[in-house]
Amino acid sequence: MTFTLAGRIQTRLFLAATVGVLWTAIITPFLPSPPMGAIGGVGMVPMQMSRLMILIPTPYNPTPIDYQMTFGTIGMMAVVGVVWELLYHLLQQFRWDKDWPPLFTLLAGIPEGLVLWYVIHLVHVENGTVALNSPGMPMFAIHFATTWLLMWLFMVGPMKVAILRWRFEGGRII
Amino acid sequence: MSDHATLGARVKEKQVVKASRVPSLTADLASSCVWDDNMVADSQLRQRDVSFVTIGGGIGSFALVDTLRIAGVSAENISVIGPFANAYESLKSLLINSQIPDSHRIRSGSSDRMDNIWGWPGYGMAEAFRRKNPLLLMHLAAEPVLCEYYTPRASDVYASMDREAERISWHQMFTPGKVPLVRKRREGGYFVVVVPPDNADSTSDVSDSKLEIIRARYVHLSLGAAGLRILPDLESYRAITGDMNHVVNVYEPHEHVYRALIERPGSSVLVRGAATSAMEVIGRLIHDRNSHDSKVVIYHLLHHYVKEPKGSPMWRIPGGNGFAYQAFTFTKGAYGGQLQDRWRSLRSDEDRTRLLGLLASTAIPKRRQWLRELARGTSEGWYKMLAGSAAGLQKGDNEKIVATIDHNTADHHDDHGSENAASTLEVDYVIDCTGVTVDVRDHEVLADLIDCGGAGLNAIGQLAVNRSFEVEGAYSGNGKVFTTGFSALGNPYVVPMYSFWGYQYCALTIANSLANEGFCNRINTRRSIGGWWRLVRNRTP
Repeated sequence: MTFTLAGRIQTRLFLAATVGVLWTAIITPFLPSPPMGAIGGVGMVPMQMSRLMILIPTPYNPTPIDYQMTFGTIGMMAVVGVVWELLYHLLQQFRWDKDWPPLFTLLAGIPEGLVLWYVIHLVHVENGTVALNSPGMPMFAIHFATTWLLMWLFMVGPMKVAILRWRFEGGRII
Repeated sequence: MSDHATLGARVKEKQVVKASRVPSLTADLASSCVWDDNMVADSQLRQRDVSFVTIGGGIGSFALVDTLRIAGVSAENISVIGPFANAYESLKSLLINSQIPDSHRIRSGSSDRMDNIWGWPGYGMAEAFRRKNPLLLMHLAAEPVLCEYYTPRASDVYASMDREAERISWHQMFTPGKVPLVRKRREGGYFVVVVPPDNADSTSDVSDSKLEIIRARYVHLSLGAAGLRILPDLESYRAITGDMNHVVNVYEPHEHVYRALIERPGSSVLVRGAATSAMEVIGRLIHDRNSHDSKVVIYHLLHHYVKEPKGSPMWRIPGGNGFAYQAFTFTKGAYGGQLQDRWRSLRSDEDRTRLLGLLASTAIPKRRQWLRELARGTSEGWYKMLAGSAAGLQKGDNEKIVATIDHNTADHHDDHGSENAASTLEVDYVIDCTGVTVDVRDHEVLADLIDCGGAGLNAIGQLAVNRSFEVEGAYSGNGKVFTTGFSALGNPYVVPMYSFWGYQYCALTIANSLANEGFCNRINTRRSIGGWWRLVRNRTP
């Protein structure tokens, strides 16, 4: 990837608003909601298909609080991400090729996820303890990791088809 | 391919070229820079109308035609004129000369696909599926951090272009021939003179009935490297000695050198240059050493011996073992990234020359296999690296060549030559891989466009273009001449002009500008996805 600073920020916001929002809407009902979220949560329903027994995840009724948490997380990922992009752009200056390998973007999910976990507590998107064994952690971890991976997969592939100029103009969309 | 800085810096002095002497043009036409419909009708020459003509028929033409077809231009409205029916033919012969046969990999990335302007799925992903090799997908995800860049096999590039040519009706648009002249049309647009290929072995002039004139609104020129010239010291050696065999440039056919080295085991060869083509040549020599027992001794002359990474923290080029390392011909960020922005922000030629020196550093991709072989050659004594600059070639005794090497310019290197010294070296052959010169006037049609068509030149003597790659000064009514590739080198917008990426970037820019004029559709998201889906299903655009 040959990002410009503007291209990085635009790409981040675009991916959050498209892949991020869509995936969050799909996955929220399936996430293991923490106990304080009352009745949300994931269940497994056994299903007989010919001779094969499979488990299908089925949604419980997610509460507005669950959606508030997941969409809040995506929103904060985008907002805090702008700051991260400034840092990445600075680090890019020390690379001779002034490029940003896709692997860096993928792995950046680890520090970003950890920082985001604290940030969403700070702004009260997520309540309770910030300890990593918090009951809310599984929901956050599954949601964030799957969203990050999908955004990355979209970026290294279909993004080039959706916006032809993107890869020619340093990641800029407009 | 070769080094951009060398190309730019060594553009030859301009010589005045007289207007072309095309056989069978009427005196009226030959002497007028602007033609009108009546003059052409009076000439009785064959004539046809096409909206868009691209001249060259190589990679540059292919990229633009492919993009225009996707942007909704029908095949009837496009004409392609060139010497070879397959767009990759010229590229292929240059690659073969520089020791990249079909089975070898070219120095280009996975997503710069000549048959797919979207670049996805890239060459790498396609190869992973074809060879059912999921490891390759992991390689693509990990490059260039954990492994070297994936690069496509030359044969895969050609095969995929064959498929795309079929899909966009390339061969229906193609007319074999040479274009000596593009003249302005008084009513707007241009007249393109096409001389069919002289397939008869007679020396007679082309007959009137064969010459064709195409009336077009838009003309695109992408004539490629046909005008490449060897360096002055090679030229003068050949002129003085009359020996055309023992001193060659890597882009010339020079298979005879390898044959001779096998036939006379133990011969020596001097390879000059520290870029990829030198490494490919050395790779071939080592291959012949291993499988034909040629016992060849390789002297490798580098301008500088690069001991370690060099430069300020922000501009530190990786290096070691004598070489600077860079994955592609240009620094990656010049391919549309922040360095392209930087390039565009510069206002003076000095600043551009300085930046180009960095972006087009002489370097090789760090391929472990190459370095291993060179280390083996050094320890076994048949590979010797020399640092210095070439300072003359003379004919010696027994068919030998005496190469003088000036070590003054070189960085100090332990083994070879002290400072303030020159040395001579006797070898059987010299293969120069340091560069070539390009002269825009080597192409008759470009010379005529400058002399007669009002085309301007830029600071390095190539055609001056605007942001949409329109040739400045060559406008004719509502008509435009575009140029991409070598003849637009030195423009203040794009650096990697002769890369797959560069050709496609220029094509997209031109298509956007033509969409503004209503000639084609803009490739917006809807058209882009639709066009890609048609490509995936191999349907006509």
